[in-house]
Amino acid sequence: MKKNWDFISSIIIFIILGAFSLQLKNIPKEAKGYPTFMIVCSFILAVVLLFSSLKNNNKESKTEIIDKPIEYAKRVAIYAISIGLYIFFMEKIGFLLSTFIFMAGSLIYLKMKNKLVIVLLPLITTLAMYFFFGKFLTVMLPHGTWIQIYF
Amino acid sequence: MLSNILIGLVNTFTPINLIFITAGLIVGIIFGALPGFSAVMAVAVFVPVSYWLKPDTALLLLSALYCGAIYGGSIPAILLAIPGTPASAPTSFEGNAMTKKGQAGKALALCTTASAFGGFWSSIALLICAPLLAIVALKVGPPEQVMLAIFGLTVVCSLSFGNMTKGFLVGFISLLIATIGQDPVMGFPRFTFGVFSLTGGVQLTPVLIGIFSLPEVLKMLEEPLDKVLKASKVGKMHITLDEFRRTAFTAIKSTIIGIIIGIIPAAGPDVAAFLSYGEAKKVSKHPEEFGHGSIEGIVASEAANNGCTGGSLIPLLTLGIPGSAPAAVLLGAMFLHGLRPGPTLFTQQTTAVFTILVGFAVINILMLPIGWYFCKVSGKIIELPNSILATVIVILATVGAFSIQSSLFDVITMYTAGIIGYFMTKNDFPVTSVALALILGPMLEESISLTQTMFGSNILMMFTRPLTVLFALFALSSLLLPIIKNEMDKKKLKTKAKEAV
Repeated sequence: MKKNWDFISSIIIFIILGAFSLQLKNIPKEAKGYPTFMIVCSFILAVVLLFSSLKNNNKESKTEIIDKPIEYAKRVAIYAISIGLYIFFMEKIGFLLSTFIFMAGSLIYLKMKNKLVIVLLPLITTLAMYFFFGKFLTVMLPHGTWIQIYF
Repeated sequence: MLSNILIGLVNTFTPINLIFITAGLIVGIIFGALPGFSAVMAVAVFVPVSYWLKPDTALLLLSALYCGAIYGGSIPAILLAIPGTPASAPTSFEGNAMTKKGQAGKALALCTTASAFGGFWSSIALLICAPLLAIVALKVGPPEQVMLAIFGLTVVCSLSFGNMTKGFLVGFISLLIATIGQDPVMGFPRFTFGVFSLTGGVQLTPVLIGIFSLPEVLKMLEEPLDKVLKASKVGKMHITLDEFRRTAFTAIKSTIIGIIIGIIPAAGPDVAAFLSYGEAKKVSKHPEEFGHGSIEGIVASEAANNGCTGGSLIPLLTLGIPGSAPAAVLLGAMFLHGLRPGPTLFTQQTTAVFTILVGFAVINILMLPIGWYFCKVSGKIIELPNSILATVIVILATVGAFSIQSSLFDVITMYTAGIIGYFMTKNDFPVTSVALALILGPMLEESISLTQTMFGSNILMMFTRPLTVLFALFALSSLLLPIIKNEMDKKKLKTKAKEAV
């Protein structure tokens, strides 16, 4: 079963443009001319895209992902969510712990069999990043609010 | 003039200056190669260090850092699809496609050669015709910048790869996203949706890191797991004579574009790289290769962004106007060392100035062997299995986005851009248009506001300025040529089909 992703894209774009349009009323006249022009142009083009998708002229615009086995799509979705969780927990448990856990977890999930690599690579990379960025380049990497681990 | 150049040569080739040039290049390449660290940061971090050095040595060190960082940004762009600097975004597009085909070595070789070529000739332009080219810089005001930005945005046509509606739609929405934050006239916060972090606008670098790198990681996972565990090949770092011939004209043209864009205030190497990339595609005999690993695309982008380095120093040295953000930091460093840029600089500080000018050429020559060696070492990274590579890219992208201003919001921006970028690539929406619009959007809006202030309601008066008309003509031709070419190709195909029947 193939879905017309251009149609879905146009609907999402209309929602985004709607959200921007609602904000326009809070902006003074002097500052809203340029963005209004951009919204109008985007809206016209989104309408063109919607109509062309309805006509279903452009066969190429249909997404590839649905042609791939569902397990790959699942894998992509799980990995994307895990990156999101890594970013969320970075602030909570700090850069060191979250990065080590994410790296080790990622390697296990991607079927890395060498146990030494699973342990040593995250450990070395995390520490190298921490000292290079955090200490040498003085970037204030998150220390964590729930658990605080830092040197 | 010749005696001044000779003095410059003698001063540049002192051991201490050569050591600092080499060190500056190495550190600059490393800074450029790190996602999130820009050429501006590389130069700014070392300004206090330069205080302890002689003025000419200090400025040679900073110039080497500047050139090295602009070049270095292309290495992760080619190998990992993470543009180290915004100027290397077009390189990422073609370079990473070559990496996937097992031609990373060739892509790196082309990138290094084109960078050194562009940088060297820009330094020659700086040395020979700086005062002459400075006159052009004086003639560039907000109306010219408006037309230049529009000209730059017409590159969207070239980047749309056959789907103009999607290309323009992405361009306009990205220009709209670029308006998030304070407006350039009143400083009024727009489209913040109640999120305080959006008051400062959407940061360009996290978006670029996310939109180019995360989709590549997610695409790796679409392959069967045994492929995810396999490693890629770097391939040989060499350029054939045929490839050299094919790209020579592109390199020359892109260097000229880079120098001109460098001279124009507010337009930096990122604008030069995109403009040159778009121009290269338009005139290429192999436009179908663009987006799939075009050697002309890499050469165009690299020769232009490094060509910009010397160009941006022309208005800086002759008029005291910095042509790019790193040039602005260099201006500060010059004041720190008692050098006052302007017309009198060439007569009052001859030795220091000509040492810097000659040194700039030497920096770009040295970039070739140093860059070549750096590429050979760093190229090994893609020989890692994809499972390790995917994990490392995520970490590098996260740390790179965070390190821009130590803000977790930038990481969230990077992540959001990455997810959106993934769906965009899946549905044939050109992601490069996002980068282009985000780079040019703020410049366009600000220039429009200033032009309106200059001419009031009679904004058409801007076309009384020759350079504005010239840029307008460029923009018009850039917009129409691909459409005409497309129509002609369609007609040719139809005729051929009829003949076949």
